[in-house]
Amino acid sequence: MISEDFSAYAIKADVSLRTRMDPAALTSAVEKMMTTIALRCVANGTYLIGHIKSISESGDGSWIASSVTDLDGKVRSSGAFNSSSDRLGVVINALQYGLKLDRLEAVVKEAVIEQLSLIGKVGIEEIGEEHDHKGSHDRFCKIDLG
Amino acid sequence: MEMVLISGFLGSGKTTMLLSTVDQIIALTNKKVAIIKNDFGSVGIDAKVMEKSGLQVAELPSGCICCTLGIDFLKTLTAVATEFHPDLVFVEPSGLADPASILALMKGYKGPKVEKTRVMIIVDAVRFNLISRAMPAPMERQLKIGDVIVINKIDEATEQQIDEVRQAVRAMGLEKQLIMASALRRENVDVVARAMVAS
Repeated sequence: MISEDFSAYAIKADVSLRTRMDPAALTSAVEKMMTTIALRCVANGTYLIGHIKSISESGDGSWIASSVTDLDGKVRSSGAFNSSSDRLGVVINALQYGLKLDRLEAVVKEAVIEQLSLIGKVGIEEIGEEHDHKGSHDRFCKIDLG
Repeated sequence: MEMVLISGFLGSGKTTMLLSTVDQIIALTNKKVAIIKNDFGSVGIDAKVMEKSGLQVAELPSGCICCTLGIDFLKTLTAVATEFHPDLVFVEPSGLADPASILALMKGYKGPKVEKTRVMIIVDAVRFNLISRAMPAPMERQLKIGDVIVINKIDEATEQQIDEVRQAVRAMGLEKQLIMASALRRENVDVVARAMVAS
């Protein structure tokens, strides 16, 4: 199910939180980031979200998996953070129809940095990108925003 | 060894359905189960979730097993069958895969015999209309090849959205088992579990 306007992008973020956050606040921050990514993609031309998924891990190793498939940015999460934490690691994978890869990359990266910067110091690692069904290339590029 | 192919478009809930049913399937059948999971993205988020949920997963990330990773898939299936001797192998391709291509690929499989293959198609009831309009031919191919069609996310879908899936299946003249379920809320997952292992 591939068309010319399909693209996929993945990014990893590590956040040193400004203050310790409880599980509800951590979940809320992650879900707000996911909704922001989805809505920004739609605003820029995504007409069908394959999925925008993330797995987020707090300092004690507990985690939530979050997914957006609807154009209204509704987030579905499973798992749970068990305790308050001063760090958060997030891996995000966005597959969508409508945006070319360079635009998708820019939109997702900007939304992730913007939203996670609200809660702490963010380190970004681009862990890969794929833009067609017949091949892929991974790019490892560490960017330190500290 | 039997194989269950769990296919469906991106975001249809394949992994959630598998996670919601695998314990029941093991309890129902007492079979040794293996899962081969293919994520299209460079990061296998679903496979990480499965591992964190206590499963051991053979992961095929960064590509699609119906095309670029076809040979890798056959090698992985052979290795899993030879080393772990499962009774039942679940194969979850990426949501971009064409299940017909995977079945065609199986003609080149030389490992321990696969006695039976069952194809489960997971459909996102909420987005069925949107996806069908965007890519009608692939959606039709999926529905036609499925032995069972699971209409997922019924907890969020309207009656009209659920009926649109039913009508589409009927319009194609397909006599398939249709199961309404919510993998996330675990509604009717027992019915799905039994359908996955039905003889």
